[in-house]
Formats: sequence, C-alpha cells, structure tokens
Amino acid sequence: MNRISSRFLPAILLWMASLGMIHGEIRIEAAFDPPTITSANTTTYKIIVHGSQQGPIGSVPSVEGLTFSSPPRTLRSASFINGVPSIRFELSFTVTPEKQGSFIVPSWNLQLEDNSYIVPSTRLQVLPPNQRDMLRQAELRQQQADLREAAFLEFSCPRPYLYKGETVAAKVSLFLWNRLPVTRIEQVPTKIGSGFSMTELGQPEEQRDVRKFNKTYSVYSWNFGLTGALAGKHNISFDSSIRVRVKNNRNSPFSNPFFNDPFFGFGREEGLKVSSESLNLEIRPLPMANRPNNFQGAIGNLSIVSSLDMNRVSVGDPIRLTCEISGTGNFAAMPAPDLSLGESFKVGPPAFSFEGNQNSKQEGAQTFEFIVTPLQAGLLEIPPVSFSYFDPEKEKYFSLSTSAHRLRVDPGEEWIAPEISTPSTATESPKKTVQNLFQTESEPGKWIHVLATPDPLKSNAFWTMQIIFSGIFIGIVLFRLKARNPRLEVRKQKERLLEAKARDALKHKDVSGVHQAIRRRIRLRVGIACDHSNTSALSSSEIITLLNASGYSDTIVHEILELLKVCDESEYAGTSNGSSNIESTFQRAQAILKKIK
Amino acid sequence: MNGESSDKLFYDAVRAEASGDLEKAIEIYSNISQETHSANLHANLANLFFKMRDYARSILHFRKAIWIEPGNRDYRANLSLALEMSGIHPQDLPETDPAFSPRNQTFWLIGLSIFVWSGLLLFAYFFPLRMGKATRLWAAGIWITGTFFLCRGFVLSHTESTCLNREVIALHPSAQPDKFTDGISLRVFAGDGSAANTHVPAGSSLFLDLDAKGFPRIHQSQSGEKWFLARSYSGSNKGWIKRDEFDPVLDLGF
Repeated sequence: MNRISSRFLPAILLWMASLGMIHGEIRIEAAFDPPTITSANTTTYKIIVHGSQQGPIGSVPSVEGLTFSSPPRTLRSASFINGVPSIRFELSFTVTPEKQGSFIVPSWNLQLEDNSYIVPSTRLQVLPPNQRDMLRQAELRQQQADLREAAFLEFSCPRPYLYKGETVAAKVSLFLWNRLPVTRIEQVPTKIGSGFSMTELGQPEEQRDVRKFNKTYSVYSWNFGLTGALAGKHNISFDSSIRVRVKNNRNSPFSNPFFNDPFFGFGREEGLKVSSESLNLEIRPLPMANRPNNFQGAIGNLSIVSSLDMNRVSVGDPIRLTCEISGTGNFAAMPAPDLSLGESFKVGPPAFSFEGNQNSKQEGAQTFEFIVTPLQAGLLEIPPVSFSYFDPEKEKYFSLSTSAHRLRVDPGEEWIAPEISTPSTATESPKKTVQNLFQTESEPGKWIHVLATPDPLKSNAFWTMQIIFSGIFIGIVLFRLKARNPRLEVRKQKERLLEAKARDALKHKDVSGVHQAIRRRIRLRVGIACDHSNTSALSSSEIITLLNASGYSDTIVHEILELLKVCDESEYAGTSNGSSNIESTFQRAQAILKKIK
Repeated sequence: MNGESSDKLFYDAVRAEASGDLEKAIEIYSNISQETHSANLHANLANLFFKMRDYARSILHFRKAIWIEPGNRDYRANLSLALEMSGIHPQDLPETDPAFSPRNQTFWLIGLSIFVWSGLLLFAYFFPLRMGKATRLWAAGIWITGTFFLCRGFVLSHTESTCLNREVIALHPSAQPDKFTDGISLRVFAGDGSAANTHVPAGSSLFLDLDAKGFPRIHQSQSGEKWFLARSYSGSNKGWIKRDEFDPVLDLGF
C-alpha cells in the first residue's frame, strides 16, 4: 500500500496542482548551494517557488565576477508535509566564479501568475584555490598537453622562404598516438593561409612505431608541392580532423573523456580537430634584373631537350616535335615553350604530359608534344627551342636552347588510281586518274552538334514574325473600318464633285458657276468640319457662327466671310469681278478650305 | 562531350594518324562523330577510309563534310574521286540546283513571308486612296507573280530538304570491303533469306521510303533486326535493306 501510494501520490498531487486544487500562499526562496566555494569550483544558484508550479518570468541580475549558466534547470515537485499538500518549483543556475571575493546577488522581481514577487538577495563567498584545486588544475593542464601530444600535425618546408611562383616539395605528417583509439581520419590536412597554393594531397605514406615525446606514434605523411602565390610574409598551418572512440561518460568533471580510462572503453565516436603549429614563410618576388625576354615563369633547376619523330615527310604530313623539360621546378604552373617556326610550318597546340612525382609535381619531366605540319617542300630546319628559368638556389636566371632539327620534306604524294573496268566502259581505253589527295587537317575547326537541314517552319522566330505581321494587318484593317463613316464619305464625294464642277466652270470662264460651286463647297466643308447635318441650308451668318463656335482663327473666319461675300454678290447682285479674278478666287478658296478640317 | 574534350580527342586522332595507326585514328574520329561534327573531322575520316580502301564510308563522310562546308572544293574533288573508285556513275547521284538547296529554305520562306505580308499591309493601308484601275491591276499582278515565284522556291527547297533527310549511303556492314564483291542487296522481302531484288554498289545514295506519318517504313524481324525500304534516286532499284547496311548523310534521329 505504501509502495503504491508513494508511486502515485506525486502524480496525483501534480494533477491536482495543475487543476488549481492546491493553491496556497506563494513564497520565494533563493540561495547558493554551497554558499562558500574556492575559485576553482562552481556552485548552484537555486530559486525555489513554494505554492505554485507555474514557470516564473524574470531575469537574474548580472553580478560582476560571476557567470550564470543559461538556461536554468527546472524541477517541479509536490509532497504532503504534516498532512498538508505542498507544491514547489525550482530553478537552478550553475554559477562559475571569475575571481575571489564576496558576491551579493541583489533582490530582484519575478512575475508569477500576473503578480510580482521579490526574490531575496543572496551572498556567495569565493575563496582562493586550495592545494587540492591547484593539483587538479595541474592535472588538467597535463591532460590537455597529453591531448595535444596524442594527435598533432607537423608541417615541414625545405626553406624558410620561397620565390613567388616557385614550387617546393613540402610535407605534412599526422602523428597519432598508438593508444588513441582512432577509428578513421575524417579529413585530410587542409591548408590555412592565403599566400600559398598547393597540389592535391594523394594517398599518405604510413609509418608505424615512431618514437616522439616518449610516446609511440603511427605517422601518416603527405608529400605535396607548395607554391608561393603572393609576395610578402605569410603564415601557413594545417588542420585535420580524426574520429576517435570515447567511453560514454558524459559526467566527466574535465570534459575530457579520453584519459579517464586508459583503453577509452567502447562508447560513442567523437570528432577531434588536429592542428599544426603556424609557420611564417617569406615569399619573395622574382628579381627583375637580367630577366630574359622569353622567361615565362619556370622556376627550379631544369634542362630541356627536343626530338622529332620523323626526319623525312611529305608536305602536309604532321610530325611530332617533343620538348622535354626535366629536373625540379614548378611543373604544375609551367607553360609550354614558345615555338616560332616561321611560315614554313604550321604548329598545333601542344599536348602536356608529366612523368614524375604526381603528388608534388615538383620533380620529374614535363613533355610538350607539338604537331608540326610542314607547308613547303625542301630541306627545312626546325630552329632550336629556347627556354628560360629562374634558379632559386643560385638566385639567377638561366637560358637554355635545344638543338636544331633538319627535316626533309618531299612534295605532296600523288596517288594513282587503279584501273576501273565497268561493263559500260570496258571498251574504252584505260584512264589513269592523277590527283593530289586531301591532306589531313590538324585543327578540328568549328564544332556543330547536329547535322540537319534547317526547318524554318518549326522556328519560333518565323511564327513570331507571322503573328506580328498579322497583328499589324488586323490593326490597319480595324483602323480603316473604324475611320469609315458612310455619311462622311457621301459628303466627301459631294465635295469632290463640287471641286470638279468648279474646275469645269473655271475652264469655261463661267464666273457665276465658279462662285456657286465655291459657296456650296464652303457650306459643305464647314458642315463636315463642324459636324452640322444639313449643310445645304446654312446661311453665310450661320457659317460664320459655326466657325467661331468651333474655335477657328479670326483670319480664317474673315477670309471665309470675304469669299462668301464675293460669291453672294456674284450670284445674287450680279456683280462680277471678271474672268481674270476668278482664277485667284478659286485658288484662295482652295487654300482656305485646306485649313478647315 | 564538350568542345575541349572533342578538341583533345581530335588531336589524339591526328597524332595516331601521324604515327601510322590508321585504325586507331578512325576509331577516335568515329567516336567523336557520335557526339559532334566538324568539316575537318569528317574530311579526315573520309580520307582515312579512302586510304583503307573503304570508299563507301569515304563517300559518306565526304558528303557530311560537304554539308558542313559546301564551298570547299577539295572535299568535292575528293568525293568525285571516291565515287569514281566505287564505280558510281554521276547520273546515279541526286542533282540539286544550288538556288534551291535545303540550306536556302529559310531564305525562301522568310522572303515569301515578307513579300506576302508587305503586299497585304500596303493594300490595307492604301485601300481608301483612289487608284486607277491599271495601277491596281499592275500592283496585284506583281504581288501574285512574286508570291508564286517565292512559293515555288520554298517548295523546291523544302522538297530537296526532305529528300536529303531521307538520303542514306549504302555500306558494307563491316569495314572490310574486299570481302564483298556483289554490292549491297536490296531484297524482295525484309529478311536475310529473301532473294535480292537488285544490288547497288556500296557508296550509292539510297532514299528511304516514308510512311503516312512521315517516318521511314520499318520492318522489325523476329531476331530484332530493323529493315528499311529504300530505293535509288531514279527509283529503278528498290528493296529492303538492313540498318547496318547504310548510314544517313544527316542525323535522322532513328
């Protein structure tokens, strides 16, 4: 019974508390546990809220010299005290002292259930480290030193300086203590430092049982080529990471799981970063004095030879000119020697190949193979290939050249076709066909991906063009249809007839006819321009009123008035200004009518 | 395969040829031509086949080179030589008027389109203006004549294009022409056991028959072999031919 009640009582109390059935007076306590520590230890700042299980809101005041962990650990609990149910809520901060002395956390406010409560002030006494603390710190330092010695990188460079562009054979070694349970090398060493470039790291060389620091190591070494890229002094170091097996003791007081157990147990795997010491190297610029014109950046101790694969060919037949540069140097960045063979030869781009230490590409032989095509027949000479390099040991430039090659080039081969006998040509005399064969081209020319005929009907551009043209056509047609007004068309036709009539009258010197036609045209044009329906009934005064109302200038109105007057007088008063003037009247009318639109 | 690696392979082939290894050079060039093309690539390949006495393949690759670079006289001269060596008469070859070459299809169509639309637009724009009857008749006559001429140009060029797309070169299945003396068989039925309707010399141009949908007429035998119905340019020789007995001049995509 007791066991059952002890198992279910807290749960029942928590359930009751959550329903608000247990709600007593809220009281807050604060204390350091323990209240006195040495500077090498930590303590716990604990806040206990009695009578509530709700999470309070507030922030612990900062105290100079103390560091509070965040977030805090929380604990809700419920119990019967003297038969009375009691609930509480605990907040625990781990506090690390930064110095010795007496520290007071002042009282501060805490929000709980919409009310504010005061957390009482608390005192912590931090004493100087005792003998035990000092021993423990020394042990920790020793462990850290051991850890550094357990796995480390060692980087070596043959010289403390490099020339810019120079490649030297460098080496980085990963030392792993044999007792360190390394499961794998997670990341090969990577360079830290921007002033250098390096070749790729290949497979490492492995050495067993190497003694150092009184320990036995397995050593993994990578050889590579290190090239100085930027002039000046630069730091260079290497980082790597390994995976090690550690025991599952997360509560290790030193957070150093490797040394609690000499065999490290069989727990989880963890990554361990391994670094080398930083090395300061100087990258010197190449001297400008005595630099040969054909120097293209080769640095090292080098020699050059050249060879031809054939010494007798026909015009157009490609031959191989091989230049081999050997020794030690920056082969990865070494350009091909410049070939100037004149107009007698066509030179293709070289093919590169390197034989030697593929990891560092610093020692070996670099071969440049040129395809050379003789363009003319005769006894030709391939001139020596010159090459310059800078020797970083002697700090001097050197120029080398190969020997010249003599080449006999015969005229193009002629091909004589064998006789072809077909039934239809059997009776014909045999014919010999002589023709120069097509010579092999040593350049590929322009590449195309598909051999196909163009199909413009499937081209988007073609159909876009059709759509644009259709749009323009439809637009013009719509515009024309919209602009077409049957009434207006009739009036315009009438106007054209009147103009023809006036011209006829002018031709026959019919003064009244001209004036009559001009007057009717004016009425019609004003009617069209001012949108008046019955133009034939317009009087002169109405015409003037319409023009004024439509905003035509006074000059036009005045001129129209003059014309109408002349026409009226000619028609009704019988006055005539003579046949000589009707021409000018007609022209005036034409000019004025053009202005009325 | 990008341009850079094609270049590298091309140079490898040139080197192989320079060192006398013609088979390797042919292999490299052929591999490149599966992915990309250039006039020099096909011309070099044609030249190598010529040296190997495989004149049919030489003709095929000279045709491809000429398609890429039509103005190259060397290619044409060498093609004539290869045709002569194959015993193919010029009258067996398709003749094309350069003006109506498949390459000029776009020119004809664009010209036709611009001409037709220009006429229609001018008509629509100037329609309200008074024009004399004679002017109208002249304008209409010029427009109709021009449209007809351009239309004919496009149709002829398009027909040539269709013809070229169907054109294949008859080849011996393996590159050992000495083994074959009868030429390529055009069979009565689509099967190895069928009697040959006729024979055409290797290197001859044949034209694949198309079905109603515009695809080549194909018969697949029980062994999985694909047979195509092909005929000569004149149409006098016709029969079924296996896929490994021809190669198209252009990429056909089947």
